[in-house]
Amino acid sequence: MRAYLIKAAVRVSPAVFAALLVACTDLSAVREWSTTSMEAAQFNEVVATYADTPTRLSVYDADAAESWGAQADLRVAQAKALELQLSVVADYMAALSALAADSAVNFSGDIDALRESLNNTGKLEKSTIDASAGLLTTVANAAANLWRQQQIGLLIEGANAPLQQILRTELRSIVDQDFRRDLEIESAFLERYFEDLLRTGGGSATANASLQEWFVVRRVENQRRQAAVDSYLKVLDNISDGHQKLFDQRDNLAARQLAQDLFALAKEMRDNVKEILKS
Amino acid sequence: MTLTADDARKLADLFLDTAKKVDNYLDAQWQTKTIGRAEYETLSESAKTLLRLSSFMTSNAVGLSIAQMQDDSAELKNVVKKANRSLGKLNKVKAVIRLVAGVADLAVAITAKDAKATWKAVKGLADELK
Repeated sequence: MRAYLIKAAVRVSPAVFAALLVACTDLSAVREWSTTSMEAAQFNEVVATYADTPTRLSVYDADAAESWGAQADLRVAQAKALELQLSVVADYMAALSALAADSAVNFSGDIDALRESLNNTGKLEKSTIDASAGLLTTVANAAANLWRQQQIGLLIEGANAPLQQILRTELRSIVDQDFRRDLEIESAFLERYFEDLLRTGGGSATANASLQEWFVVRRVENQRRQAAVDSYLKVLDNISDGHQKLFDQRDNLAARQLAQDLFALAKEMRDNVKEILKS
Repeated sequence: MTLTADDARKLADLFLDTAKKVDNYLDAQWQTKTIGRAEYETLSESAKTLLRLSSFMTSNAVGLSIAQMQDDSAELKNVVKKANRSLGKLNKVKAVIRLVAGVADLAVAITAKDAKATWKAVKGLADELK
């Protein structure tokens, strides 16, 4: 039996072995980028900031407290809807990362367990089992690798259009225009509130000095929130750019330039997330 | 004519810009002391009204955009389902390999008439079949 297997292995054409080797594609860049995208997409403090704005503004505009209360309720519901949208993006990235993981197409551990079990039967020669298991591991891993590459290509192809539509149009407009404008409105309300108090409030010098200090504190908080919006926008652009590159190169996911680009984008995203955390 | 998200944004920007112009006017008048208190307070209140309108219109814009995202979001969810099916298929291959190993373990235990080993092998096989 052993001799038969060895002869069979030798008869397999070199081209097949070459194909099996090529089939083992390194998708570590795809995995790294998609994992980072999944984590970064969920850093959505900017959504919570947007939802809280009416509550913060009601302090500086007490006359319209009821209206701000109604706005706060509306925005809480909108924040939930936005977080759901972002979780769909995160789920997609998680699935892409899982498929790109080497463990998904590595059956070595399972075949080793099978090898041990077959050895224990005592019905076959150990050398025969070892040779068969080795060949099976190579073929199974390579076949799974080829199939996986095809599946990832199809997924990227199917996801690109809706993902780009979400990231480059609606979601981008919300973050870049609406969230930014919201913070500008907050800044204008702060200016109006504190300046009115300082100019016409009739407070003592001590009281006015204290007001000035609070004015500075609130202004800095507002600027930090604006910086968080800038950083989150970069995260969304990064995810969009990275996926477009994946789409353009979906037939050659192991290309060196693609890997370099994806690793660089993943690093940028981690830096942007650090900026969001600072604010 | 239905308001679109972009229309809402244009209106929100218009209200905010006008509020800022009123603010700048107030600041200039206050610096040169050419405005009375009553007039100052009236204009300040106008600026606040414009800011409120800008904020409410911003909420409208966000709501309209969220509604527009639903179809693309549904399409992406379908892609995620396909991805999970692909992962499921790969996991099934692993499960089949483990299953065969489990059957072999059971055969060994029965042949050796080892009750404890037989029980362990049966339990292992049952776990794979879950």
